[in-house]
Amino acid sequence: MIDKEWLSLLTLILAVIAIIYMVTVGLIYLILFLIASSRIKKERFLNQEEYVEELTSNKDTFPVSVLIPAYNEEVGIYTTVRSMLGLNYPQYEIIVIDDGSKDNTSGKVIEEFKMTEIDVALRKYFNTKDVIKAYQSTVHPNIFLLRKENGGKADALNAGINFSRYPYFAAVDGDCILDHDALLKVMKPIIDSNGLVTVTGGTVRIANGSTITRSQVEKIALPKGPIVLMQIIEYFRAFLIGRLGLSRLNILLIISGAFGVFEKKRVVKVGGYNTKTVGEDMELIVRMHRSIKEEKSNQRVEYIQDPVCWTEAPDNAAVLRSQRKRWQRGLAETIWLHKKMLFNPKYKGIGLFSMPYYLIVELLSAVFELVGYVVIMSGLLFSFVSLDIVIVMFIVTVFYGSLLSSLAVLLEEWTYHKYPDTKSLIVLFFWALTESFWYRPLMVWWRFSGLIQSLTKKADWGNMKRKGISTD
Amino acid sequence: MLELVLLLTLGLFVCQLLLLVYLYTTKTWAIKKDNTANRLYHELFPDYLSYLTGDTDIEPILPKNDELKQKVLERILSGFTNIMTDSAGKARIQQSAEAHLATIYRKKLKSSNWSKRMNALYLIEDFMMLSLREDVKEHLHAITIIDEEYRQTLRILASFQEESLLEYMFSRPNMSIGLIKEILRRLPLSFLTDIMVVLKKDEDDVPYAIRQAFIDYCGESGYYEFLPFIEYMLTHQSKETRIKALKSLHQYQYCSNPTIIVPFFTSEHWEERLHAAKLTGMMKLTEFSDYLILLAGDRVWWVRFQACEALKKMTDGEILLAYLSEQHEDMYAKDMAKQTLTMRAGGQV
Repeated sequence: MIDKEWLSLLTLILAVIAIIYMVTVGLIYLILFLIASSRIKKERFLNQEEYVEELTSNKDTFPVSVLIPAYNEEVGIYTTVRSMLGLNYPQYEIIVIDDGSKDNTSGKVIEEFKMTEIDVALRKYFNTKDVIKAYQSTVHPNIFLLRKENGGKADALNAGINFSRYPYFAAVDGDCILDHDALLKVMKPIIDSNGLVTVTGGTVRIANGSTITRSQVEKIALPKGPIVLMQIIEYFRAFLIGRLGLSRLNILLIISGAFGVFEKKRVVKVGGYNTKTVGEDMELIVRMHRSIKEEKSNQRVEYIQDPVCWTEAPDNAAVLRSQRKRWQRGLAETIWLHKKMLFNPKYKGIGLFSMPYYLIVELLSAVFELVGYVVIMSGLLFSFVSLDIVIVMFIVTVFYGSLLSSLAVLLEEWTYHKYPDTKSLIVLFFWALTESFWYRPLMVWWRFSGLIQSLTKKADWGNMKRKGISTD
Repeated sequence: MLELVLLLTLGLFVCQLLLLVYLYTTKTWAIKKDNTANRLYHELFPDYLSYLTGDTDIEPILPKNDELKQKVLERILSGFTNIMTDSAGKARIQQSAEAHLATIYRKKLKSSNWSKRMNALYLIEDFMMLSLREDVKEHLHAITIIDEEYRQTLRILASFQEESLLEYMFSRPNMSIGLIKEILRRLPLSFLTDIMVVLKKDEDDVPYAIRQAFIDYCGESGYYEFLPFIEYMLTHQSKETRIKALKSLHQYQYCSNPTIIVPFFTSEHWEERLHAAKLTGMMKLTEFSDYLILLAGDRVWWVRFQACEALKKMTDGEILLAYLSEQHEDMYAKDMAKQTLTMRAGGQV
């Protein structure tokens, strides 16, 4: 009897903690939404073509090296490189880094772009696994291929930086397609700020369902599978609320590995990508922030809501699970590596808000939410807590997920309004409402497993089997 | 407690419902408006084509609704602005824009919506709407934040060749070199000559960024009137100014007396050695090949790279590089020569 009372009290305490946690997180997200929405509202009707027109003919537009690390990407690599050829940008080079692929990634690039071998006098900013051979296209002299021994994505990017010629580099995943003006738009803040912006990242959108022909997005449409649909909503929320909100406060710690532009000088200064983590994209940004704050520099890391990089999302639970576990491990490793920054006033907003936010909200939310679900279940099954508490927790959970997802759909419509019909909006809205009932619990469980795994696994590419997003 | 929970549930439900209704209605309206504008555009385009190309003097009748008129006319005129090269055609674009859009844009410049102001500013420049000159000047003084709006307002005034602009620039030491160059690109030769005169007379009166931007732009524009001034800047005490002058000469692809670059081959600053090598290659100054061979073994990678690239541009460049790849005493120079021999040139995709 006493045991049951104790258990009931413990469940009640856990329930209250979970409710406070969820309400706080919900409020933080609402505040970020308000910060992000003011920027999106400001630029809602802006003529985007006119906005970047000056840069297309401007000789001061910095040249950029586009780095495409690839491991077993024979299905998508040609499409990706071809989409880069269509970029509206005055001067750039494309460097594909084949990180010891076991498939025909290199062969495909060599054949499609008619490449021949070149000798390289490599500059070594960083030590990487050996570059075996280098190639240059005979058709497009600014496409290069480096074939190197396998060392992971971070090592491949470091080798690409060593080889690159230009002062800025864009890191783009081997399975992505960039919009025609994406590079211009992402470089604009760097050029306009006269170098004060050191890193910029663009929005990544899910290509499943849309029609992409010859590496150009022709028609944007929704996929049919609920797993991909939910990821689309999730991406809107993560980018348009989370990243934009944090970026406006200059405390953004993630620039998506799929598409970001970096000032080479700053990356070299901080030592390049860390080869010992799966979250090398986030880890680099944290290190850059650290160096900026330690130097008392006023440089910024900015997220730009418009430039779009299209990628293929996992369309089945097994692949999505391994992706999310990997992300969680990357996050955990980064926070662990930079634990000294946590709650450290020396790093201002990064130490006092951003790092704790990523620890408590992004990393540990899986634990808190899992507790919440257990409390709801046990409350209902064994009457450990009152029905009122269970209902409150249920409402808070729904509020946390569904309303914010719906708001993200609103921001998407304000930013891109690219879905050609009202039906797509209603479909997105409907699925946003269902999030709390199936997708979120799944995520919580996978992220929790990822957290556990972060203590054991070593770094890897974690690739998924690609189907390819563009047709000829 | 239960009442509160019920109230929260109801509130949440109402919020979501309102959001859905808002999204649905705004999207429906937007699609409807777009369709109407599209239809009108396709109807009016052939008639405007005849009008703007001078086949007819009768301007087509536009819709009475201001928003629709603006949308359709902007689309038609913007399309033609990019392809129309003759002055008569441009004058007609300007005339149409002045007649139908000036009042609308004047109002837009006062709008509280940033995007609407920006769109108006972009098109005022595209259509060269000179009647709005005073409004734009007034707008510049009303701007408090240095952002794209500020930059675009200055670009318009430069395109309009507004005389007070030089004085404005001289009084703003914090303007970036990039923005100043955007302005310089739009200014006529007479304005540029005025800047050079002030720079020669007393450069301390001119902000540093204007000096650097001007030197840079001279090469980009290719005006030979300014070449002696740029060559004179090679002797400037500031390293950054000398480097800008070297870069400018590189863009000219010419200098009147090549011996003036000789001291830079042995400069203590690697950027000067690099630009000297680049200029030598660009001008194919074979008499300086020995310096390039020396720089092929420079301690800085970029200088080695540029020296070998310059050698490659010489008539006997490939032979020299082949020799270097075998015989140069410096291993790095050998590697760089090999790379230059096998790598094709090409700075642009």
